[in-house]
Amino acid sequence: MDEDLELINKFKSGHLEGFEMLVKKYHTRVITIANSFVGNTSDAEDIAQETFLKIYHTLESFKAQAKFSSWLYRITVNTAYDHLRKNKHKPLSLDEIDYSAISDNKNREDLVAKEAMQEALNKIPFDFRSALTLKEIEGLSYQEIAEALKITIGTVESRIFRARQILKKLLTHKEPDKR
Amino acid sequence: MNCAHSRRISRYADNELPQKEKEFLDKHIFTCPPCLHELKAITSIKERILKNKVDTNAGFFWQTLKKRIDTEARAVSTKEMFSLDFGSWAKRLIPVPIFASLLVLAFLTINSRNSNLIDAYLFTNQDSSVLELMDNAGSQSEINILLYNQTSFLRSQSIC
Ligand SMILES: [Zn+2]
Repeated sequence: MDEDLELINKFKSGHLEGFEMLVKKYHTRVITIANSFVGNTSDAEDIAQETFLKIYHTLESFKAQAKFSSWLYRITVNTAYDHLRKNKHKPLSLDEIDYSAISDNKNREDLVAKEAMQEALNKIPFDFRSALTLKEIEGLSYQEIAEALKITIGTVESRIFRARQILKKLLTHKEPDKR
Repeated sequence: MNCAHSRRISRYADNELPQKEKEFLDKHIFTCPPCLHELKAITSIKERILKNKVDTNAGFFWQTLKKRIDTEARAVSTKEMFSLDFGSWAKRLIPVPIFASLLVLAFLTINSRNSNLIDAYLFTNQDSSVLELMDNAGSQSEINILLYNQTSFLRSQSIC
């Protein structure tokens, strides 16, 4: 039997450890996906907590036919979407980064590159970003992304392609300034 | 993108092409600068997005979540306790108005019966002791008690 399904069944039979193990297995991925939408770990962790709370409350009704990870990623993406809508998220702009606080050159370059990427990601329409994030961060197949986002494989392919085209343009137009 | 195949590079980079098409692009890329450029751009984006991966402490994350679950559970059980209590109280309270109504009805019946008795008694006997008692009574309620005692006595004597 699928490992996730075993953990779910453990939870359903009254053992919270089943759920705990699912959380520990997936929490980094959930936070990373959320982070790619909000651009800061603190908000990403909040989204991840919300996501797992929703999972906790609905896991009883989870059907074995579905793939747990697909379901989890869909809830993560939806929770991130709600968070962005509620908070009218304003990503940190490159000009707002306090460079003086970053002493180490290597770290500074990394951070600038990271922020530039985040800024670019924030400009991609949410639907495109969801597909791209699940591909790049989770390494999901197009089939798995289609299942998670309830879209066709053709739509997955087109969204990822278009997201990459936008990113390419944004990142070549604004290469981080390596001060 | 100046090559007709460039559109397929995104899918190629994701290893999502049918085997034949993949084999074709494996060779094509190294002979076509636009496709090679496209592949490099996509690979660079992949690497940069991966740098956004967050490292977190699983134990701490779980403890925070567990606290939230426990807090929610406590809130729910308190709410349930209250609603249950209220439910049982409500059940206990239902007979109260019925009982009260019956009590009032009984009181009214007895009361009207008493006044009939008293009227009849006063009319027929004009007992001075009763009139005296009534004079001495301070309040209406005392009169009622006195009359009630008196009529009870009469009832026991089978006057009515
Ligand atoms: Zn080409």
